[in-house]
Amino acid sequence: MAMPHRLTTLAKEPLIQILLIGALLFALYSALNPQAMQDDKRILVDQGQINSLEQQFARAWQRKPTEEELQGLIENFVIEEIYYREALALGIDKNDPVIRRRLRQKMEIYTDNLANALAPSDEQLTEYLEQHPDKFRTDDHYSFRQVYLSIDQPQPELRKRVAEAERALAEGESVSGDPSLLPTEFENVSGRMLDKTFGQGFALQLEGLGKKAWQGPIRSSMGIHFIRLEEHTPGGLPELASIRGKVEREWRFDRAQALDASFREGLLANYDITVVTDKNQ
Amino acid sequence: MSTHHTLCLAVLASALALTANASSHSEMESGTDYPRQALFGDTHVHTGWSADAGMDGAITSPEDAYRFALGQEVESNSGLKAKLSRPFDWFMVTDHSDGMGTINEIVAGNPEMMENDILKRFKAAIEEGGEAAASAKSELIRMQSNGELPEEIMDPKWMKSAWEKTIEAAEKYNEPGQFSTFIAYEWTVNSDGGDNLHRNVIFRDGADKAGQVLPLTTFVTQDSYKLWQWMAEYEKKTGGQVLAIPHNGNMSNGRMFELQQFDGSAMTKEWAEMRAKYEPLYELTQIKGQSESHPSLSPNDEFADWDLWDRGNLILKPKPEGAIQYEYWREALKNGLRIKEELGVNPFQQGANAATDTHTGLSTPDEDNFYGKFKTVEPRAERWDFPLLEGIDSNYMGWEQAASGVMGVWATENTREAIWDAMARKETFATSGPRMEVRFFGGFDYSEEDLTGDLVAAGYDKGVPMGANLSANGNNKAPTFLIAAKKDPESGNLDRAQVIKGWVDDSGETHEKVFDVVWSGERKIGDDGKLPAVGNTVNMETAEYSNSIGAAELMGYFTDPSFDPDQPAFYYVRVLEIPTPRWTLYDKVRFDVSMPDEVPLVHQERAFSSPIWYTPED
Repeated sequence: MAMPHRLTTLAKEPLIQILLIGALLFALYSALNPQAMQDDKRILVDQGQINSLEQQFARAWQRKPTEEELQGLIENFVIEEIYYREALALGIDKNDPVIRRRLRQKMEIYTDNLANALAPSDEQLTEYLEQHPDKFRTDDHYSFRQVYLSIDQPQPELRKRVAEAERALAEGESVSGDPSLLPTEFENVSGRMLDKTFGQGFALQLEGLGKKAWQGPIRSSMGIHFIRLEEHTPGGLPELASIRGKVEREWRFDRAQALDASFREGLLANYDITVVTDKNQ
Repeated sequence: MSTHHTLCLAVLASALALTANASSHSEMESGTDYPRQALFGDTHVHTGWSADAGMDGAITSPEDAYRFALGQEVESNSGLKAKLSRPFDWFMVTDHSDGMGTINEIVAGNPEMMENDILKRFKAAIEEGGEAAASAKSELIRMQSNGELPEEIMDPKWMKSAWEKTIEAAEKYNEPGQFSTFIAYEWTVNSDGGDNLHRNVIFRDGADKAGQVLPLTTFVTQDSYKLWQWMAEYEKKTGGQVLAIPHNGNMSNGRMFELQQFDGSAMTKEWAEMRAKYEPLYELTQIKGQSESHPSLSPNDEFADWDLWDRGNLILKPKPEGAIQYEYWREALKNGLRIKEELGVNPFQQGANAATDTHTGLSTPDEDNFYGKFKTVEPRAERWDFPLLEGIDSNYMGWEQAASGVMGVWATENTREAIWDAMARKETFATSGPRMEVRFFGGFDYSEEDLTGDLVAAGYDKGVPMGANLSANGNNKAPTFLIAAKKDPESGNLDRAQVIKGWVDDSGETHEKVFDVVWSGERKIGDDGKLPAVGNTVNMETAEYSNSIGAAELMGYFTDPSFDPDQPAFYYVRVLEIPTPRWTLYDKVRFDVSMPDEVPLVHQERAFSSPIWYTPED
């Protein structure tokens, strides 16, 4: 088809080219998808939407957008909404890996959220607590007095001091230990805290001690101790009420993992999957 | 002991409080609120959500990082079962704010990203793993330094959900009294081609406040002054509080403590006040070496030469002439005193912080359980010889990594607020990994007897703790100091405790001096003024050592012999352990590999208190 001269010249202008291509595309699109043209063409930007646009801006920039910036945000939102609707109508959301991945992510977040949305009952949590006692067991707690001897002194001297302390304590005399950051009295302190202070395994050494009499010498990573155990309170499973948050967190973590797995298995079960490779053809 | 005190532990709150007992003095009761617990944690942890960590194959999430810090077993990025020997007391995840979460999109081959050839190449490199992944990561750091990152990474839409999830993970694992977590991120300025000016930004607040903002990125600004303004805005807007910790001055090519603003303009009083307020601490050791002291700046300090990474910046661009003096903590503390004389404010009044900067999500500052900086240097036979950071003409190799560090804070209780407050008032100490405990008090009224009673109560009652200011007392008396150090029961004994003093003389020159205050055994200072070495028990065949030398605790009393009441000064404590195996020796034995002589196998772990600053009367 021969075009008039002026039109051919115009058609070489980049802007006109773009418009022409746009018009062609639109014609093609209308032919393919007459339904979209009949659909709802109304776009409502209400105050709620505007507030949300303002908030997003403010979170990034620590200030409210100016009037001009807000106009820009609203225009952008409208254009985006139109494109979004038209794209769905065209079906170009299919076979796009970004969209596929994003949707899968949302599905996964959805199962995560399911785990989070489920409000576990006290019964469920109590059951979980009892099934995983090691996760929640409280430490044994100890009350005791100690006399501390530092090992940073000549061995013969240290041996003499140990023997002297042993004798004096047995006879009910008071004994001064060496200067130390270690306290001389401990009241209701957890095994974990004691291990942190004296070294791993210290609390275990206290477990076998009799009460109310001076015992020792006991070695720790810190030095030599004489101990008079006053009280040993065994740990146990706390009541749910006192650790509900923690139990719920662990319950949710396990739950989310289990949900993820079962969700995936459930979906797989719904599909008939055949993998064809060159090898098995 | 002349007085007794009691440790009290509530079942749910592990806060230690002092209670008087029958045999103690009544004034002891006023000591109830003294911080008596050292609480240990890491202020610098990246997970697979940080672009450069993900580049290298890290897949851990913030939730994995918290579970690991709590002492739970977590699968490492290379599929090993990883577990700490003991949990941390507090913890945080500080993923890079630049492109938070983008890496997952790259790994997944997000087409929007894959339209960019560079990102496409990165994806292939990550899939290939090993050296290719490591090179891609180095390139990413280089590109970010030079402002050449593809636009696809800079889109804030990738960041938002990652930030929200980061906040969520912190809130989920915060357990006041047991385990405190912090909402935090890293602002990663690699100025001018890899000059490391990074800051970790740490909130005191919960999601209700921190969740109102998005992290500042370096796409918005690279100027730390603008960061402090962003922090000020945040505080004004939310009523919350936030602080920042700069790190790796050793790789800033002379820019971390430069004597001017970022844009080259002169320091102002207001600028100095902002820096002092928002940056109370400095990270003086981590996996990429230490930024505490340098042998060229401290030629008379025999222990200044440790864990040096001083061959250039992050992309190994060589240092300009004279850059070193603006990179290290000790020199900055000295310069700060001098600047204060001119400006009226000390911008470099920074306490001691240490952290790992791990990019595996696993914080492991333990020599015998070190998981390395990146996935590519997680435990395996060849990791010591693997190029960790690739520069233009040279590399930093795996063996150069330091299995470091950790920070202890003196807090009244294990809560987010109490620990943050301790950081803000600089009542902190830094260690190269072991959980030693360091006490340091300064005043004018101490006596040696204070060492044998309740040292902590005496310390607070008659003076100030580490991190504080000591004002002249009007009678020209020299200050005295109480020093106490307790070993980590799971680590080596202690060799010595020293005081490091810095001061400005009347002509404005700065000086430093190291004093040996207290040490183990029967050693005597020699004619050369030096304390003889403590010895060495490390068995090079088995990577074992014995605590047959050294002390479990060191307690000392120090009066400054060279005190001049008119000269501004600071004092901080350095504690050295006896020699113990470095992680490389554990690897050598474990994997049965040989390493060349240049690889250090034994070292002395150490701790540093925050300084106490002395200010003369006007």
